[in-house]
Amino acid sequence: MKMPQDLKYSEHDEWIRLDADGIHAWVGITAPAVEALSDLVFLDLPEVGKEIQQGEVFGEIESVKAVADLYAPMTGEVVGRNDALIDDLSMLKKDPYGDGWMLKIRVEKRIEADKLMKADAYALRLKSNPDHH
Amino acid sequence: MPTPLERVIFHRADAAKEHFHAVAADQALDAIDLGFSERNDGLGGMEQVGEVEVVRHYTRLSLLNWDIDRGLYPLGSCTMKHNPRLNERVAADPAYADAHPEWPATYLAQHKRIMSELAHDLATLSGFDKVCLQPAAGAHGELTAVFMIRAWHLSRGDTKRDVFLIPDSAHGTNPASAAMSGFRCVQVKSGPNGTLRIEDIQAHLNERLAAIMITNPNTLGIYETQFSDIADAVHKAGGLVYMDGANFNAAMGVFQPGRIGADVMHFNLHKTFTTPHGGGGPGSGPIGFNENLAPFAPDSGLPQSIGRVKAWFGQWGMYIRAWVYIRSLGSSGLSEATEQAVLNANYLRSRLDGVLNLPVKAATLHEVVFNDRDLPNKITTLDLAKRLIDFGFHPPTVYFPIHVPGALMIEPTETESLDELDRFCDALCAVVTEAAEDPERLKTAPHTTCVSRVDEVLAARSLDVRWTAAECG
Amino acid sequence: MRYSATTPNERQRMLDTIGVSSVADLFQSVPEAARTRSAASVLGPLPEGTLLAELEAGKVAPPRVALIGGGLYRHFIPATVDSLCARSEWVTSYTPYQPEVSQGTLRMYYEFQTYVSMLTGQELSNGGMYDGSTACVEAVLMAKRLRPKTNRVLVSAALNPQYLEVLRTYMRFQNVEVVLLPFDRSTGHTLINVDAQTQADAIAVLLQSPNTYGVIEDTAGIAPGAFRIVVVTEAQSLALLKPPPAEVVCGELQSLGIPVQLGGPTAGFFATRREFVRSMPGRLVGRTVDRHGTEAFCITLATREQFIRREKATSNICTSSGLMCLRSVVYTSLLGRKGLQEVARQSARAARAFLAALEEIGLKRAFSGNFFNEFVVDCSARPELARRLEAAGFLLGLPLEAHGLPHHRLVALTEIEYPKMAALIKEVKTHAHAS
Repeated sequence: MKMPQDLKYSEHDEWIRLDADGIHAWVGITAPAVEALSDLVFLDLPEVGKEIQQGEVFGEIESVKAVADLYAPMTGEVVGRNDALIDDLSMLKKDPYGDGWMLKIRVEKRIEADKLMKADAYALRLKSNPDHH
Repeated sequence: MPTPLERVIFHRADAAKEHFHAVAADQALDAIDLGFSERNDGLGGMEQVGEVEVVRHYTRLSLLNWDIDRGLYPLGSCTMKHNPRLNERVAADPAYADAHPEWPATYLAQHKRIMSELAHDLATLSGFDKVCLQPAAGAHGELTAVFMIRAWHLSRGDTKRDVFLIPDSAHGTNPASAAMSGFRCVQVKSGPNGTLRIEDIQAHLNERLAAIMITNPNTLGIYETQFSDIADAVHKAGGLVYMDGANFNAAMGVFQPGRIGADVMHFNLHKTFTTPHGGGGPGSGPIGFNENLAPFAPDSGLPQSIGRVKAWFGQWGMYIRAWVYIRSLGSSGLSEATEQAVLNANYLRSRLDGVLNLPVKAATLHEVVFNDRDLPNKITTLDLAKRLIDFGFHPPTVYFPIHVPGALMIEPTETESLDELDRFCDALCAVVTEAAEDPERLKTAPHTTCVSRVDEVLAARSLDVRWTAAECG
Repeated sequence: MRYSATTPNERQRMLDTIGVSSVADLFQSVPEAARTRSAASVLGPLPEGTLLAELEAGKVAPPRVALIGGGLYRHFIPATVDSLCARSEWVTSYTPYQPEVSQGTLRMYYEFQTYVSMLTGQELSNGGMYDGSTACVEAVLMAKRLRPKTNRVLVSAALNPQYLEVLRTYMRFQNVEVVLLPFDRSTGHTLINVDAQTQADAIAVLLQSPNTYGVIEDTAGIAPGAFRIVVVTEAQSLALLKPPPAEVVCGELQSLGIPVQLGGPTAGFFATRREFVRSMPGRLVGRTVDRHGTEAFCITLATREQFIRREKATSNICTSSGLMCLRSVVYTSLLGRKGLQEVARQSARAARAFLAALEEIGLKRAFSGNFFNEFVVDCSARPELARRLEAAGFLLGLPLEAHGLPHHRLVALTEIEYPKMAALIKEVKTHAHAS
């Protein structure tokens, strides 16, 4: 499976795109995760101003018969939330790495990015662990 | 003849229709002023439906349901067995249906005797020292037991125990009940034989362990062979053992949970003891426990009691049904019920093994879990279940237990005839054959029901959970 | 065994198919050490006639008159309710997990949710709870989920004592402090004797209306910002009295077509605002369509429930009270707004006529706040009356000694007494004058 090269990936299938300004980043979930959850019905995201912690749950996404926790790939303050996505979850399927973004955060510790996977590593992980979803 | 798809009642409601009168009006009394102003919102548009139409409506609605009186209802873990008519007749007797719990004790002598006999019988069958009937349903019994476990630890000054060990095969109510009492749930993986192994819990046998919750036989229908060893180890570590009694129908006359290491267990009167399920209740979830926990019971009358968990006596209407059932069968009949249930389940297993994949091969008792691993053309358990409906059968439990991917969990119970079991196996075989030959037929099933496959995504996305007056105009 | 459907020959054929020689072989996985050794047995088997005769012999005649409510009320149940609700398709069906073969039950739940929403004036309702006492607890638990940082709930002391006991049990294990709000000894109304900030900082402020002494309450005295829970135990009152504004209205539906049956099973209800739907406990049925666009119903928002969310579920509830919900729905359909109001008025008027008679013989109503069909009477002017009546099979209300109200009785009447008022009043007066 092809993963965007400019993103970093968490073991919980979140992606993060670090902005060129070195301060901000966008967070979302990967296409295989969206695929596994299938028919999405609900997304719960933190409000702007909240702090999220790397590895901690920041929200929830639901399909008809499953709930998945969303884990923060990095620590930071939420500075933007994709409310259009909450209203129309189909965007997650159409464009998970673009218009399907969930949060914009102000990154606190850039070094945390080192704990995340690059695209190739993430793709390999999916391949070696097909039952993961 | 097809049943018309009856719409919800509000289409028939009309303020101009005749409504039901309980008693005749009395002009003198009706002159009395109530002294408050009545609500004037028309009760949100609630209007009556004429008596004949009410009968038609609820009869037609009822015909859109499947029920155990029509045929096999092989829901594993839910235990749908025949509900004797005698139970219903007795429960409806005004002497039992109209009694008020606040009447002076003399009027309730027989009711109290029946309750104490039922508690005694449940204790006798399960091997526990005592039984408290009060909890309203199985999950409520679980919660009550978890409260008692917490109270027991606290009474010993043991305030740090916050972990509940819960196998991956557990019912969802187990972790939910533990969490509602402030415990942390730690999941334990079942071994390759489908049972718990003592080595898998070893790491958790410490001062944080409050209790383990074990369903026995477990949700694969397999007897937990290390149950007593695990119970001993948990007790040595200072924890307690909760047994989920949902499958007690496989234990009657065979083993007694209260004598093999369980400290407390709930019963589902609506599973083992034939009280009806009623489209989702009412249930009844008495708990059995040993002397160590007795002071903490809701009805112990002692200062250590956790306190009441439900108003009044609990589910009296279910107690009397279960009491009638136990008296109708006696010890010998109840043991035979268990034996027949296990024989029926194993017969199904033999006939279906190979037709469907059996993910865990260990010997099973009252139920058996297959899955969709070997089905062709990406046919899933859901497709299989839906197509089975077209053959005149209610589907088995699907996608549970959750540690078996694509699980199909079958429990026939003791009350099915061989003919019914054979017809069910034949139907399942036919559906599996069809999966290879005409997969589309399965993916679009059911085809013979009043509605076809329901759009559950739409239901969740655009929530419509009540009718509004605007609709009828 | 009475309910077995196989013959010995068939059982042998089944064993042959399985490939074992006896049923005992199927239990080999149960270790010898675990086997039942107890010789204790339960009574039976008894044939039907014998069993019924024994029950008949043990019966005690019920009281002739029982003016007892206290959270459970005997109202007239139409024959249609008993008959329809005894149909196998309702009684012996399971929770509607497979919507295609459960449209009857699902439609019924949707109707139930609608009726409860209408009666309570709330935006939506769930598909029912075990009973009023547990519905009341679940309301507080939901409020706690919405306000996780709070740990104190303010509860009217005029809440049904059974409910209060149940609430205390649950709250103890949630580490929540239950603070009682006293009631006014002259009016019977709950006194909100804490400041606005304390109310707003609590999990909830909980009142019952009519309260356990029969007095109609309102929530006007509760501070803005507080989470208001209103409990209703006499559902017939809803026909005439719209519940006061609240975030949750919950309670007991037994009065609507469900027999008292010693307090269970009955049906609890839980109604709230749409904004709280994802935090709501219990089952919920929604309307949708099938593959062909036909109107269809199914369980929805199941991700709140224990079988999916497990330890993070909004409640551990699985089985609820479906068959009792059905009774209330059939009852409500038959009576509708006008029928319910007729029953409610008859109940309220019977209570007033009876109270007037008690006052004529010198007894006094204990609280001045208005009531629906239940009131507290101070019997100290005629201390022997209740005992004399009881000896004659006439229960004059529920004694309130345990509430610190000696010689006080909680008296409830319904439309069952309404046609008998003249005789009841005559009997009370006769006993009063004999004393």
